[in-house]
Amino acid sequence: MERAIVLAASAIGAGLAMIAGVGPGIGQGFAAGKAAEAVGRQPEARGAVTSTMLFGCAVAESTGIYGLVVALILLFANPLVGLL
Amino acid sequence: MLYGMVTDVMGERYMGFAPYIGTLFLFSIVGSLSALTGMRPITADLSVILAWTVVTFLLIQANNIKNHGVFGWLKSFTEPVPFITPLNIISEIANPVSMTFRHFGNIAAGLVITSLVYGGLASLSAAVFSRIPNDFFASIPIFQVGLPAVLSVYFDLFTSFLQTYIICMLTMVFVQGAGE
Repeated sequence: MERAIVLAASAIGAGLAMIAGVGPGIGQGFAAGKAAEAVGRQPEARGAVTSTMLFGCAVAESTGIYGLVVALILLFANPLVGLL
Repeated sequence: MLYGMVTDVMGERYMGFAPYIGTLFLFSIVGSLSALTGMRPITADLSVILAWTVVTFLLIQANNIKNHGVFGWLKSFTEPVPFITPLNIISEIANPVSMTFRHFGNIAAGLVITSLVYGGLASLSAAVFSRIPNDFFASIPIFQVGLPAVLSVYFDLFTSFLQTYIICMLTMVFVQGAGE
């Protein structure tokens, strides 16, 4: 019974942890929009703008990745079950 | 190409790092692209990437000591005010941790989503074709043809190249920044 409660709470917690994906989504959308603006203004700088945008996006993504790692730990390597 | 990239980002002074960056690049790209052969990519394992970022962390600190001396290195933790020292130490340690989780998380997320889609398509085709009396045809997961390839292009090809580029770039930027 206790085990079932812990497992259910872990599954809910993993789902809640993925709410962290909202932030990077907004941030990356903002960055991509600005990059599109920049390419529109200066089409010849397209390569530099694109690589800078990808770099910035990948760095901005890390908070979402933290949420994902928490969710993966809760689902596949749950430390809470061992505490029972 | 590699030497040009290292020169662009780090400058002529740090050309000695180019072989290390090249090794990191090749290891990361081959490790991530091995997912295309159907194997579990080696970069979906936390310890592999943790090893690289620990090396990067040591390089950062070594480069800092080399350029500022031991006392300059210790003093850099107490800036701008001595009160903030624990925060500086935590932020130094958070660097390799965030790099590790970034690469690992991207590859592992692709692995999880791809295997979820494979499992879902297998049970879908099992549900649809279970009425066929011939067991052999009913056991073929026909819906697994096609759609996973589209996901694979994004998660295996694009993410692999992007994360390899990112980890090499961050290593170069951090190591170079430690020498300023």
